[in-house]
Amino acid sequence: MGKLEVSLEEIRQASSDARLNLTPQEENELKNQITDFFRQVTFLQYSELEKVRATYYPHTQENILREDLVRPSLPLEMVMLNAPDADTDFFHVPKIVE
Amino acid sequence: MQEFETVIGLEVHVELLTRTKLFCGCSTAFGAAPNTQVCPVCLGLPGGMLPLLNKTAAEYTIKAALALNCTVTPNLTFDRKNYFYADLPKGFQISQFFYPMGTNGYLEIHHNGESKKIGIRQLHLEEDTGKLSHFGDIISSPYSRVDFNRAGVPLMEIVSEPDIRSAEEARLYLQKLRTILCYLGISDCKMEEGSMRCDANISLRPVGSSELGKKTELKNMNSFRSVFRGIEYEVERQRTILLSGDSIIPETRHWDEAKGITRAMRSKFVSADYRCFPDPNIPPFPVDTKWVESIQASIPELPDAKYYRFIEEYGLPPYDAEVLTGTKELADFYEEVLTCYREPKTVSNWIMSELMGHLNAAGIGITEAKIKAKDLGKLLQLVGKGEISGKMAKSVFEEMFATGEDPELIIKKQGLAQISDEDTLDGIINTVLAANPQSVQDYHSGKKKALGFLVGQIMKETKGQANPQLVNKMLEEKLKSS
Amino acid sequence: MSGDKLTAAELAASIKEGALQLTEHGENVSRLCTKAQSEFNIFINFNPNDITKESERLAGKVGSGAELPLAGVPFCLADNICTLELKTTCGSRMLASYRPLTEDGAVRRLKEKGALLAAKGNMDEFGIGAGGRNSFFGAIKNPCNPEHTGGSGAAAAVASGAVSFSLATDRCGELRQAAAYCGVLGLKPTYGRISRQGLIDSAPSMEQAGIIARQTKDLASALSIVCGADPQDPTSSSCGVPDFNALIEEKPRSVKIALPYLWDDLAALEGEVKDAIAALLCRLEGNYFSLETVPLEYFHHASTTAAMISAVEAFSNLSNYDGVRFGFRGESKHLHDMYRQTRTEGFSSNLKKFLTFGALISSGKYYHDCFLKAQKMRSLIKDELEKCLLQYDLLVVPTVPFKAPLLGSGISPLLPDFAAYYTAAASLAGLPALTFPLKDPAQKGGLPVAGLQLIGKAWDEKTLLQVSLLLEEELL
Repeated sequence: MGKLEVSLEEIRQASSDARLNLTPQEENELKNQITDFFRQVTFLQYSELEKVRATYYPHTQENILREDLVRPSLPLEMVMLNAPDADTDFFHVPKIVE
Repeated sequence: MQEFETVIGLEVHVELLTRTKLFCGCSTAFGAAPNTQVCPVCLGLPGGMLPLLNKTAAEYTIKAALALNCTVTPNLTFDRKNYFYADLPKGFQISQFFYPMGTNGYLEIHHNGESKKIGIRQLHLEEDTGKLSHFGDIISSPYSRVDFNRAGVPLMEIVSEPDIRSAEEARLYLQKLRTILCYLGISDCKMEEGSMRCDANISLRPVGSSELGKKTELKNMNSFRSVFRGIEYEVERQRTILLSGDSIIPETRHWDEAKGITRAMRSKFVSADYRCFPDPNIPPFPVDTKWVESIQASIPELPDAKYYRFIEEYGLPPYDAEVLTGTKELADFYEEVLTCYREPKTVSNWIMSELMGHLNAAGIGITEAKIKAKDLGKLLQLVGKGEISGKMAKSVFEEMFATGEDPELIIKKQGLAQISDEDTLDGIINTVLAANPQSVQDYHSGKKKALGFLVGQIMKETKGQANPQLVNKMLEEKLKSS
Repeated sequence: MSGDKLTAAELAASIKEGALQLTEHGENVSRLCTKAQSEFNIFINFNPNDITKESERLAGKVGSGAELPLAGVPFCLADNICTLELKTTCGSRMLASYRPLTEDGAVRRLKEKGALLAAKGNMDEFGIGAGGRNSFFGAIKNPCNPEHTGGSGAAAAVASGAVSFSLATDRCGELRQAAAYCGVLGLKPTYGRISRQGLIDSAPSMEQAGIIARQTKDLASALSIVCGADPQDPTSSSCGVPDFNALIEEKPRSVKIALPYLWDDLAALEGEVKDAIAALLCRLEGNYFSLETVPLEYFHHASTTAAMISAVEAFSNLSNYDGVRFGFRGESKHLHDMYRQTRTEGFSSNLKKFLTFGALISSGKYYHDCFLKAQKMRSLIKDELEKCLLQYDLLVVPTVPFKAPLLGSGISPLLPDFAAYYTAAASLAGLPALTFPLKDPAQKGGLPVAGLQLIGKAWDEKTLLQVSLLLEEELL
């Protein structure tokens, strides 16, 4: 594997996918930080990592299942308590114009 | 002219019939007031997002995987599919991206007496989204309104292999899938209500080619009929383009039911990178053999097994077997009638013509019908014994269908019981003969029609209750001897 | 003064016996908190009346004769842990007025046992390590020297003497680092020990609530209450919770300690920190301890590994901040622009960069070349630590390579300044870790010198607490 080199386009695409606007200055700072980061993280070049399994969870657990029993939902006024824009029973969002 | 082969793969989503959502205890009941079946988990509220998997939803999906001959995953795992949309509360959908619940299965369709296996690539469990609505149409509405009641409802996605070769096969596949899922009792599969949704990947290739052509994805087909029509249209559209020498643009297209055409969707935000990765909040859960075995044991006899058994055991024609196994309830009804009256083909005829005719006319299913299987069996017994005529039986059936009453009771009430008592009939015949000397004379002079007239008179006299075979027999004997 | 020198249990006893009146005690706590807040900016949405109300409510409970082992013991709650009555901001503009609809399980247990919630602790935005210098509500000052960072409000509140303990979260080591900066004890228990229901976390596979306190006995008291299975949390463990209060009274016998070979081979490690740790390690070898150096091949990759994993998890976990159901909302007529406005204005510049980094390394080719490799490296780090802890009871390293940084110094949450160099491994492996404060007697009133970090076997918080108590009572 070659060295990882990040481009401004890739950073722009990533921030856009994360629905974040970065200023040109922020983009440049981030590019430099990531470039430094990749330089430091030497293990990204380790080829022997390929055959290692990935660990996504610190421990396995047994209690992820729940019986199919209805529990009370939130009262409507609580549902809407923190809503920035809503009427009594719907959340409002700008129209999806694609 | 160049010949093309149609290649279709279907992606079907069905809502599972669980009481609660996939990861929280909110009800899944249909038709509740907006945003009344939500909680911090399914709303994605900070501090309340820990998902707890609905055991029944997992079991239903494993059940479907087994019924569709899939290999069941040894570990239950869930992944996050990350994207932003107004109907998606968390900014990601929890789905099974890396290890679907079932893989590598198939189902069988029957068409014109032939059977064909359609491969099932995978089957997995995921969360449904919320619903957007508008004031009037989307253009004039000042904003979109969001209801999250449906967000987090368990959704099972079944992805077929591209083994389907026509719109008709697609329809049969979908119907068989629905039949199986309904047999399992895990979904009601109502396309019109959105509890079953179907997208189709469609492409054409020159006959003989093994490579896949460029495909389009067809969405927004809301009934079995529109799946059929949509695919037919899209196949013809692609054929025309290919024949003219152009190539297909791979894109997502919408079926427009009203206009009967497919249209390209504008796709500014469609091709996203979902960055799927294992959900850190849901550790893997082992699917042990005991669990799978207990689920397997709860699976009823499936439509195909029933289909072959009906042909084998009852000697039914494939068409009858296909119709009768169309729903588990109908098949059960059929077999219950058989326990009272073991003439498989006769019972099949009655169910396929009388019963289904009445059900269709009333627009109801067998479970909603008042008539009981045992009673239909009783009615057929009476016909078999000659106690009532076939014609009478049909009118009794009508009454049974309308009221759900016992056939004997109806017969008694309407005085419909057949007169098979020879002494009684003898008297009536004598009366009729005495009243119609001309007809008797005509009979003797060779006019056979006169016999029919006399029988009619006897039936009239008995209000149609006389046993016609017996009347014929006695009348002829009497005339010959006179 | 009342609460400062007493252990939590002693304080609770004097309240229950009536030697200390709750209302009077509440006023005292309120006064201390007000002072600490004005000097060090350690709380968010601080209101002294909340303390008065809370102590009045408690007074009724004490009167009822309920079993209250923490009666009146004041504690601070990091502001990413939810309570029903107070706002929870996560140190972010995004949640500046957010009212949670859930209450954290651990907080509920503490309240049931009589603990007095004093205030919500100021913190780095969403707890993402910036050493206490990236809060929408201003930087957190160190009570030992206000020109330096306090790391977190939760740690500074304990160090200031305003509360007996704090409940806060630890992603890549933030809780332990802040405790070390402030010269107090910090314990991140085994992942799964304390329910995560009610946490607003940003790194779910590593983030775990823990305790900060001045005295080991207080760590044990609080821990005994907050640990335990939660049927609402799929990552919480059903592993039995011992009575840590009783267990720490037992002296540990011949604790086998491992020290990573080349532990001090780090340019960022300050001389003073290194010397203090080395001196302590020399003193440890004796009656109770045996110390051996062990080669660890992957330990030094932990902080960068954790940075990548936590960035991807944060990118995903914070995608629900979209201005629809709660929180800050930016204005726009179009949905996706509204998302951008909301998230651009609601999040700090540092957080935006961190989330973009997470979005980058989980996309396209980077998914395989960065994120997946980090998860693989996580296996190596975890396996190595677990293997080491099969032979030894504890692994020791410094907590942070340096003393609390100056408030004005630059920060970047990607790889800040090696702050997580020693702490990230226990986070990746889900192991319990405790930081023990080393104070240089010559520097009275100055910054704490360092924290000694003890990393234990999974579910073995007991040994960490026993060793901590031993250090506290006999060796220092």
